[in-house]
Parts: sequence; structure tokens; C-alpha cells
Amino acid sequence: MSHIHIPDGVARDAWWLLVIGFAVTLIFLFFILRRLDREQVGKKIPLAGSISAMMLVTMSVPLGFIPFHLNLASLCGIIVGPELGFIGVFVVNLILAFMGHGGITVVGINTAIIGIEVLVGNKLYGLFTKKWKRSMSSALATFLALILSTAITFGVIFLITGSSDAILQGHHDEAIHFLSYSGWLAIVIVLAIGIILESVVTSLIVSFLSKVKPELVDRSEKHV
Amino acid sequence: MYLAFIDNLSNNGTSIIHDMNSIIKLLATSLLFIAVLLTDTLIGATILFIIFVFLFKLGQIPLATVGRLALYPAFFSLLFALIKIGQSWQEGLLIVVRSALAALSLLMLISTTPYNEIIYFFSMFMPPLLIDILIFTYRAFFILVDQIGNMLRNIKLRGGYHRKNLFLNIKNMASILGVLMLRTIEMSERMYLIYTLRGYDGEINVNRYEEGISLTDIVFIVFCLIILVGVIII
Repeated sequence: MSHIHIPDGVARDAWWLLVIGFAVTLIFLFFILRRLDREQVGKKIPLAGSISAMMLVTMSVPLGFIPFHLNLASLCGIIVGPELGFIGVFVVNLILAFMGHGGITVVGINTAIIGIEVLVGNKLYGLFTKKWKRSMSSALATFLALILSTAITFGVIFLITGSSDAILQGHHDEAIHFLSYSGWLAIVIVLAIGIILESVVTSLIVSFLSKVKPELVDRSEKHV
Repeated sequence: MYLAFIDNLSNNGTSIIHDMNSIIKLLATSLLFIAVLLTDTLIGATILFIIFVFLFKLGQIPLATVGRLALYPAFFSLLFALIKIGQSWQEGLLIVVRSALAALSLLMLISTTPYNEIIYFFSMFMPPLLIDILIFTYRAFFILVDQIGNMLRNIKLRGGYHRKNLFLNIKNMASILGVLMLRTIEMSERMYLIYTLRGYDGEINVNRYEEGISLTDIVFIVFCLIILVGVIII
């Protein structure tokens, strides 16, 4: 995940964006649920639930002194496919919204953004594994998926706040100007570290799974 | 993760808010939530904060533990506040406070309402498949959180985790997560078999204990309605 969970109350003036977010997510969910094979659905529901729980649990894994947690949305997309991955992201966002991580009014937009991460991570991994090793492919796919979802998140932030004028021009007060730039720099650094960390961990997990259960990460085999 | 703590609080709590009708509580909290979103002044936000402190006290919810979770949205809203702070610092601050208050309203709700009541509410308008996934997620979470807790304890006891050694941590945590991913998939297959044996055919029936509406429920929802009207008028 892009690690920017848009909270409630920040997108009040951009309610149309929240509506679009919910509409996109609901349309995706509608088609995914409709496409699920009726005979397989009973088996896939526990899997989707377990994967969602895995994403939730992953957030509690400590990494030491870095104030950061993993989410593994891209990895879940690689292993269970984009459809179940998307459902998982929706459920995780819904539960997290009640825990103060994200927001209930922004579940739609948060799911759409992170759902893109799942989808792109899955597709790029499939593409890269034709040329490179699985660990390398997963790292690159996760890295690019995170860059994309973070870029979309920043796009959403600019839409919510009106325009990029505030950050580019700001106020004439130098102190506030400095605060704005130093704050953004800190956020960009934290995000960059987060993206690299998540890509490395995803690669290590894929490498581990390649040794112990290769069918989970092998694209020539059928998905779970 | 605080989910286990909050789950215990919501199921075993005995406060006046715990005893309220769940649907009324959900509606009343929604009114408070809307009031938070509509707040335009720092004074209004401060009054709402005081109200939440009072409600947390009334619901016997430890503010220091559960309320700490409201700091996450406050942190994430800083991004938006940093943009707005160039125009007016009050507006920037209000964004941060509003996010934290919105989180407090939801935290108050889940700390006093058992998860099955909330899922029942969702089942009124969400497809049964999503409700099933929510139930499986909730169930699987507590199994997995136990497993990862044991694995983390093991790895710490064997010297595989050091606060300052990031590379060692990443390597070992990746192995833990790999094992956890395997167990997750195996667990989902086992769950499927167990549920099939119990007659699961792709839909879990969500039932709840029918509650009446008491005077406390009416007082609480009227109180929340007054707050919302107050925020709109101010």
C-alpha cells in the first residue's frame, strides 16, 4: 500500500471525489463478485478472508527503528490474483477505517488507489517473470506499483486541496513557506524509504516461497 | 495491533453505552460523525473533543490506549494540512483535529459494539459474499495474530531481532511473513473444509439478538442530534 491512508474530514469540499471513489470501487466489486465461479465461490471466500487478515496482521510486524509498517498489497495481488486481492483491500480498508487508519467516507477512494497497486503489481509481475527471476520481478513490480499508487494519491491530494498552488506558491510568510517545504520533504523521504522497504520484503518473501512452495508464485502454473 | 484489545472491550464492556441498542448507537454515532465533518471552527472542534472525552469516560473506554489510534489519521492529515497551512494556519490545524475527531467517533462505536452487531448492520445493504469475507477476515485475523505473535517471540528469543539492525530485521521478518503466507493459504483451505462439513454453501446467516429501545437510547440519539444541529447553526 502507498502508506497514505486518506483520513475522514480532509476531503470535505471534494465530496464528488469521494462519490467517484465509491462508484469505482463498487463497480469493480460488482464485476468481481459476478465473475466468481459459483462452484468455486465457497472456496474462494475463506481465501479472500484469510488474505485480508494476513494484510491486517502484516501491519503489526515491527521493523525496528523505522516508524513504518508493511502492507503487502502487491504481494497479495501476485499470489491470489487481482480479483481476490481487490476484495481483500476493500475489506482491509473497511476494518481499518473503524480503527482510525484511513476513513469511512474515503474507503472507496482508498480501495481504488490500493486496488490499482494490487492490479499493477500482479500484471507487471506476470510480465517481468518472462525475462527475469521471480525475486527480481516481484521487487520491480512492487516498486513500480507503489510509485504509481503514490503518484495517484498525490494527484488525489491536489484535487482535494483545490490545486497545487498552495504547495508551489504558498503564503508570503517565509516561516510557513519553510514549514511547507520541509514537511513535504520529510514525507517524500519517509515514502521513498517505505517503497524501497516494501519492495525488498516482497522480493524476499517471493524468493522464500519460490523455494518452499513455488507453485504459489509461478506464473506458468494455475493460480490458487 | 489494537483490534484484539478493542474486540475484548466491545464484547466484555458493561458500560451504559455498551448496553444501548446497537442500531440506535450506530445512528447516533453517525450523527456525531457528520457533526465532526461539518465543524468549521476550532472552538466547535474543541467542544466536540470534550464531548468525546466525556463519552469515552461514560463508555469506560481507556482514552490513552484507544484514543491513541486517532493519532494515525491526525498524522496522515498533516499532508493536507501542510498545503492548507500556506493559506491559513487555523484551517490547517482544523483539518488535523477534524480527522482525529472523526476517528474518535468510530473508535467509540467499535469499542462499545460487538463486531457481529456491526456486521449485521452491514448485511442490511452489502452483498452476502462481502459479509462472508468480512466474517472470515475477522475470524482469521485472531488466528493469525496469535501465530505471528508466537513467531515474533521465537525469533526475538533466538536473537533474530534487534531494534537497530534493520537489515537483519528485514531478512527475518520476510521469512516470518513467508511462513505466515503459507499458513494463511493452508488455513483458508482448512476453514473451507470445516465450513463445508457444517453445511456452508457460500452464505453465512448473520443473526443477532433482538433488542428493544430504552430511554437511554432515546436520550443518547437526541443528545447527538442536538450536537449536530448545534454545529450546523454555529
